[in-house]
This record gives sequence, C-alpha cells and structure tokens, in this order.
Amino acid sequence: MDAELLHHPALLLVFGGIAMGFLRGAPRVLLSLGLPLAAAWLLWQIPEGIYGGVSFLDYKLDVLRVDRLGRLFALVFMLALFVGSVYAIRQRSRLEVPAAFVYGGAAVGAVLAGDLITLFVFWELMAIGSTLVIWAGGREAYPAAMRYLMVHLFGGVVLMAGVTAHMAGGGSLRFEAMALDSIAHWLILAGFLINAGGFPFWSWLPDAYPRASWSGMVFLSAFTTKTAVYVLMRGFPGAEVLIPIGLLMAGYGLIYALIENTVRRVLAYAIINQVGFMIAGIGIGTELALNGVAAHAFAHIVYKALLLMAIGAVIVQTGKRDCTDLGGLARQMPVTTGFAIFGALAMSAPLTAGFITKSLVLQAAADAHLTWVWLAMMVIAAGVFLAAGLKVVVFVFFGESRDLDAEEAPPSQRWGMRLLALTSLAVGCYPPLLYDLLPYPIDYQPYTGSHVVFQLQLLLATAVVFFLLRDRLVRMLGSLIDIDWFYRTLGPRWVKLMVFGVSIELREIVLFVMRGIANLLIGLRRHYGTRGVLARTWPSGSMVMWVALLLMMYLALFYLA
Amino acid sequence: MRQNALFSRGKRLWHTLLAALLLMLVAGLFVESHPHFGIDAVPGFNAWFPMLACAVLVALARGLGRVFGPREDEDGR
Repeated sequence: MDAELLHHPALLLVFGGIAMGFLRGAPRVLLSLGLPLAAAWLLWQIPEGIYGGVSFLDYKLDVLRVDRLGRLFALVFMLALFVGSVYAIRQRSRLEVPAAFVYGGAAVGAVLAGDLITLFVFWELMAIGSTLVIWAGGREAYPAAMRYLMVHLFGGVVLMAGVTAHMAGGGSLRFEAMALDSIAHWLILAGFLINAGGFPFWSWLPDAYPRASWSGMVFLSAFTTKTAVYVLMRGFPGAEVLIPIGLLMAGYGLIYALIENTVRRVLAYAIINQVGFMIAGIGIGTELALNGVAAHAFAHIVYKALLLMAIGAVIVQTGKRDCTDLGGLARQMPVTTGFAIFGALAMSAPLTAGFITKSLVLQAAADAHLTWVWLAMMVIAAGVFLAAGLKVVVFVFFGESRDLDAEEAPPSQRWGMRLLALTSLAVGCYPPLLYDLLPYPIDYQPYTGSHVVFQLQLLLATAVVFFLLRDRLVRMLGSLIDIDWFYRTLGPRWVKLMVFGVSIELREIVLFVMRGIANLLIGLRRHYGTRGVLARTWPSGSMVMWVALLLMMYLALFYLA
Repeated sequence: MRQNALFSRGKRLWHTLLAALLLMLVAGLFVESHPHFGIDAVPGFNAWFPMLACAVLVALARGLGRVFGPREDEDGR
C-alpha cells in the first residue's frame, strides 16, 4: 500500500466529518472551517499520479488518482464545503454539517478514484451522506429523504451491475474512457445518469433537495450532480448520445422552472437545466468542450450556491418558501438582495465566472459546426437567466411587498455569500485563475468586443422579455405533475385499491387471476418439478422451484390479507 | 398593496433597460464578429433570438401547465 493513501484528502474529510458529529459549539465550527482547507493543502502536496496497491478480493485497487481533471473537481468540492460551512455556522442541527462532510468527502473520493470499485464505494457513501443531509431538514423531509435514497441505491445497483459485467467481460478495473459498445457500458452510463438527473430519473432532485434545511440545499447542490458530470467526462467523453440526453434535461429544467412556485424548487429545476447543458457539452467531446464543462461545473456550483444561500436566508427570516408568499424583501434585506442579484448575473454576465465558462461550451459547439446544438444552448443560456435568475430575484426581493417580518441575514450567512461572490468575481475578472487549472491546455480569449457585446445583448433582451411577460409568469405559477407522480401518487393509489378499496366483484377477479397463476405453477411443477418428466431431479432445480412457489404464495397472501 | 422601490421607479428601469439594449445593438454593428452558421450573421441576432426563444418557452410552459398541472399532492399549491 502506498504511503500517500494515508494522506488521502477524502478520508480526512469523511473521518473529520464523523468526528464533528461528536462536537458542538466552537470546536465544531473550527473543525468544519479547518478541514476543507487542510484537505485542499493535502491534495496540493500530492504529485500527479496513481496511488493504491490496496488488495481487495483478487483486485489491486488504485484508490487515489491525482490528475488535472480530478484535482479541479476535488478543489471545487472543498471550496463548496468551506463556504457552505461558513454559511451554516448558525445551523442548529447536529447532524447536517457532519453529514455534509461525509457526503462532500465521498464526492472528493469519487473524483479522485482511480478504479471502478473505489468509485462505487464512494458513490454509495455519497448517497448515504446526502440522504442524512436531507433528513436533517426535519420531519417533513424524512419521506423525501427515503425516496431519494431509493433512487440512488437503485442507481448504485445499476452501476454495480455495469461494473461487474464490464469486468466479467475482461475489461480493465481502471476507470478510463469507455466506448458504448456493450450492455455493461450502457449500464454504467445509466448509473451515472441517474445521479446526474437524466430522464426518466430526474424528479428526485426537485423532490428531495428543496426539503433540506436552509443550509442543507447549499451542500446538496454542489456534489451529487457535479460528481456525475465528472464521471461522464472521464468515462464517456464525446459519446454523441449525451447531446440529446443533455438537451432534453435542459429543456425540461427550463419549462418546469418557469412554472414552479416554490423558490428552491425553481432552483432545483435550474440545476437539472445546467447539468443538462454540461452533459450536452460532454457529448460534443472536443478538448475545448470538456474544458468548458469542467469550468462551468465550477461556475455553476458557485452561482447556484450563492442563490441558494440568499433564498436560505429568506427562508430563515420569513419561513416562506413560495414566490406567491414572498416579495419586496429588498427593503428589509438589502445586502442579501445584492448578493442574489449578483448570483443571477453570475450565471453569464461579463466579469463573472459564468461568462468565461459558458462561452467555452458555446464556442465548442460552434467550432464543431453543430448548428442546432448551438442554437439550443443559446436558448438555454437565455432561458435559465429568465427562469432562475430574473424570476427568483424579482419575485422574492422586488415586486409587491407582502409586509413580511424580516431582518437582514446574520453575518455568518453574509460571509458565506460574500466569499462566493468574490470567487466568481475574481475568476470572472482574471480568467487564468480558473483556466490554468483546466484539464487541457487552453487558448481562448473570453473578453473580446463581440463576446461582451453579444452576451450583454442576450442578457438585456432576456430582461426585456421578462418585464413584458411578467404578469403572465405570475399567473402561471404552480406545480406540474412530474415523473415522480408514478411512484408517489399512482403506485400507492394502486396498491391501496388492490388491498383495501376493491369491491367484492373486483376482489373475485383478483382472486381468480391469482388462482390461475397458482394452477399454472402447479402445472409447471408437474412437468418441470423434482419428479417432473421434463426435469430429472437435481437439488438446485428443486430449490429454485420451491423458492418461486413460496414467493408466489407470499405475494398471494399479501394481497389477500 | 405597497409598491416596492424598484417598481415605483418601474418606468425609469424599463427605459434604462431599453436604452441599454439599443446601445448594445448599435455597438454590435461595430464590433468584429465571427459568425459560424449564417443565421448568427443577421444583425442583432443575439437580441432577437433570445427574445423569440423566451417567448416561445413561456408559451410552451403555459401549454404544458394546462396539460400536466396542477398537481394535487403535497407539492401542488
């Protein structure tokens, strides 16, 4: 085993997070601020390379791989943990911040994993950590946390099936780029996409994240989807199928964000939108596109966390979560309002991080002469500024005042927002800060006359449309049926109907069907069973038969009881 | 209901916005651009295309809202 593994930053964060669970007050706060900095320092000390030599079953695991791509994502995650901890200093829950460190530490471990088994272990640890973060949101959040866990455990099973099949087919354990040439690789892709919020597994995100506490969603917005973006970049760069998948996600996120009334759900849909944008960029697959995706993952974490922090502060002050209950808070919370406006602008306005990152992906689409993709990405850039930027800022902080009882956010929350705004501004004003960390060498000048003027045209035009259609947008506010309707409404309703609510006649029909199945099984047994003509006895055959019968009986009993 | 500061000065904001857009449209005529597809060579493309796109998106959202909404569970309001 390599000595570097003892300095694995992910382990420091995960075990530090567990230790934090036993502390309270100042020691907890100090640890939560010190750990991300210490982890970043540790990571910086490790030279690029692959470290491992850990034996597991018959495999040698490469637990730690440090290269430019992994290091960039890991550093961004540590930044998110640090700023999130500053913001969450006043968080009363003793579970949330420690769980966020296990979650964020696992995300760091996943982006630094050199092999598929290590990746899977950290992947599952992320699911557990993030579930606990949601859970810390209170009793209301519990059912959503369980639904979230189910989706992610399912995603883990799909990923594990893919990894197993990949290795059984003679594939290398090392996590490298894969071609979509076998069912194993499709399964791995599906496992990754479930965490990214890809169709049809996207409704877990707006279902679960907005139920977390005021600080919980700040942590949640950073890790799971961006880790998925990272693994897609590493595993499937240039896979063309990702372009339509990403654009579909982006379109869905936009439409739902436009209609949604609950502010943090709007931002949750906007996450899916922007992750879709990144996934489409991965599908383009050129070095410029991949640089753009990595850079935009950074910019997105920063501005989305900033917006979520501003809304979190509003939730603490007012207890309200819906656009229709909020408005006119600029008077009571001027500083928070300023940061929210900056967060909206940081999506793509010049001098912010979003401007120097989004344009990379758009340029990549233009260079590849993908006309429709480029046009779609223009729509996404304008639409998300309208749906998540202008809508959130204007509906919450301006517009009709609801005479809400609110005060300015406390200093810890303001510092969290300040640090993020400064980060975005620094990178936006001096792009090499970020460009020098990107995975591939880059020669791109974001600040040309045409780039700046055209981007300002886009933003101003979008703002004009917003103010023209503002009344219509207010009237549209509501909530749409999503895919989760199938498992949250239809499924339980069906089971209830079958178990309790059926009339005598219907129950007879169900029983008739059950009896039919039982008769079929008896018939099968006659022919295939232990003494059956078609299957001479061997013990495993009979066991499988009995298990099948027992399961069928259990199912029948379950419905009859 | 009381109007917030921003919208009591709404007209001024609106005029500023339009003036800024106009200014950028004029500036757009003078900067050197590198159109890739033809359509982006049309003057003011970066202004009228997003406008059109946003209007279509809002119309689309409205249509979908009629089909898929409102939801009737705890998330529907």
